[in-house]
Amino acid sequence: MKASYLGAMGYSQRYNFPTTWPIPPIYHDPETSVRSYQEGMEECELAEEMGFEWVSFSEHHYSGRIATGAPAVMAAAVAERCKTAKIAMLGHLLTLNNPVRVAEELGLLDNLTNGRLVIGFLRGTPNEDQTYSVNPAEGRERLLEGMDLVIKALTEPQPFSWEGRYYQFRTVSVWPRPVQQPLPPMVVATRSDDMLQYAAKHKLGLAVSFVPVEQMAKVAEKYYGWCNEAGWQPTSDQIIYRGNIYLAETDKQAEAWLEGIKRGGPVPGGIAMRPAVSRAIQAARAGEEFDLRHILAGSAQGDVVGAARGLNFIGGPDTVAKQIKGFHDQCGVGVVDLFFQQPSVSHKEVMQEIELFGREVLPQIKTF
Amino acid sequence: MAQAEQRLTVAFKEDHVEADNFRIRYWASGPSEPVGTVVMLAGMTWGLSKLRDALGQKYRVIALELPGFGESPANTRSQSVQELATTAARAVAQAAPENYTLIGTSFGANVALWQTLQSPDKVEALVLISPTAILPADGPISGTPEETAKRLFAHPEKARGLPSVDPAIVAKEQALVQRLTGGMHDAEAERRLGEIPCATLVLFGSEDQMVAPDAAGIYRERIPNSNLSFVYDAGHLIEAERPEALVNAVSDYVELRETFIVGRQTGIINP
Repeated sequence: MKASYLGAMGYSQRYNFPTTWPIPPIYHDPETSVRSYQEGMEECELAEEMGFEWVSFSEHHYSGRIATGAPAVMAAAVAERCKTAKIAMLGHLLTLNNPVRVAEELGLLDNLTNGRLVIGFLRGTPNEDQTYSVNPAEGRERLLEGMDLVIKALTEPQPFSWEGRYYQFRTVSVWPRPVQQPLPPMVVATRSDDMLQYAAKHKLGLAVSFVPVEQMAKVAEKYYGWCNEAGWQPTSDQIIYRGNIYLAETDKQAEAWLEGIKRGGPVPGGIAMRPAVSRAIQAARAGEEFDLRHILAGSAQGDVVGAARGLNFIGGPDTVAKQIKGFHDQCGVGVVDLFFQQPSVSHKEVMQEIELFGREVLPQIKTF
Repeated sequence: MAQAEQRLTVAFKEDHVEADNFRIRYWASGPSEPVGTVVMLAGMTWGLSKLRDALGQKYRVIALELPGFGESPANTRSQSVQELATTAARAVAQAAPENYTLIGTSFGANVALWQTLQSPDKVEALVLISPTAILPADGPISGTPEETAKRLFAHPEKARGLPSVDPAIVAKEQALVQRLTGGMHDAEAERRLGEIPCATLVLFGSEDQMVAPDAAGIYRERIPNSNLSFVYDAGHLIEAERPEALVNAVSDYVELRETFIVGRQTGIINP
């Protein structure tokens, strides 16, 4: 089993942020921001030094918690510091972006890293639908078409035009092509049946984020079934789990930290929106007709969009290793992508955690 | 634009010509002052009615029934695709003596390709929709209707919504295609792609299973003035699955040829 470090590049003063999304730019202090990115890159470097085999990046907008709205830019910068780790784009929010542009960025990254790129496609959390004003009701279809277009753009040897439902490009001829032929490793980050089927049909890997192990096991079971129907089985590197982590020297210390967090009130997740907006997006994603009075009154679905996500891995090294093993044993996870930058954890503490993880946890999980 | 076009009905007048001792039917339509002529050679079964109707708004459209296709008698005399193309060219010369844009689909595209090679002065532009001359997939279409639909469609369930086609016609057409091509790669056509002098658009459904994935690029690489287009989420029968996209791409190309790549849609939201 392998470990991946999520290069979130969180703004160091993120504990001052409101819980709502988007984070107003007024919170931004240039000096703090520059330092935060430098610290984030130091964390990636240390992670590689300590034995993490992947460093990952994720597209998120209008928030300093994961401050990589342009993840390819961040990945390129880190790739110059981390010379051996896989650079995993987990990934672009394809529904928001021009897929041809995404293909160009991916092709370039695979060249800059001499074939160390891993590609992930995802739709993103509901709040992201507000970025660039994409209709939430069309997100799934845009993602499906976008994935097809990116793959075609990275593999087709001749210039072509694309007559899609959501995209029409009369000249596509992506340069540079990926170093890894025919394609860099690709995964789909999803729990939805249609996307799982897409991944299985196209022999793409699976990435799941933040859900409990039992829930991922159900998703993985369906995915394996569809892969089997398609006549193949994924390798362990093709099953990725992204989770929040807090690692301490001992379980007791981790528990004490968690108690302190709980006493401090709700942890700012940074993706909560105004309730009516949340419900409107949820309704649109579910294909429901828009009804403002219903939305304002509060739908049966409620505001689940901004719900704070819990820690998936917490404890001392042995406990965390055991928790990770659960995902390996029950879901077949071969790469665990870890989000260390919890809201109240400083850069110094993250560095200590990375070191501890490399020293005490990694040797254990590598045997899984 | 495409939806509006679909609502329009175009009156096509049936006529026929004699060529190589075949009685060849065709349907003609067009406005009183057409901006040009389009000749269409449909391949097997469902044809290109929506595209034909759309083009009929501006162009004189001649839709030719190839000998052995549709309701014409079984064609046991043509010995090769090239020979059939010669016959088609002779028929078109009577129905449309002027120069024209030539459109073919599936096997009809293979005939159109050869017709262009044989009559380069007559064909102003060429549109090949789902051609199967280059690197056809292994084996002819056969088996149950479900298996056939699986080969022809990205979404086989959509086949159920199409007008039913007389199985005898399908069998007759399949037999002719098999006899003339053997389901084989047309190496001579590939070798001569570079001789096609006119602007050429080659379209494939992104899920076309009737040709190998490398086929599309070969046309684009070898035909000097060509564009390659993929219609997303369509199989071999593009018109059945993404008619609006097909009509949009082909109409633009017929009108604009290789300049169809130049963006013309305004980006202004509120002036």
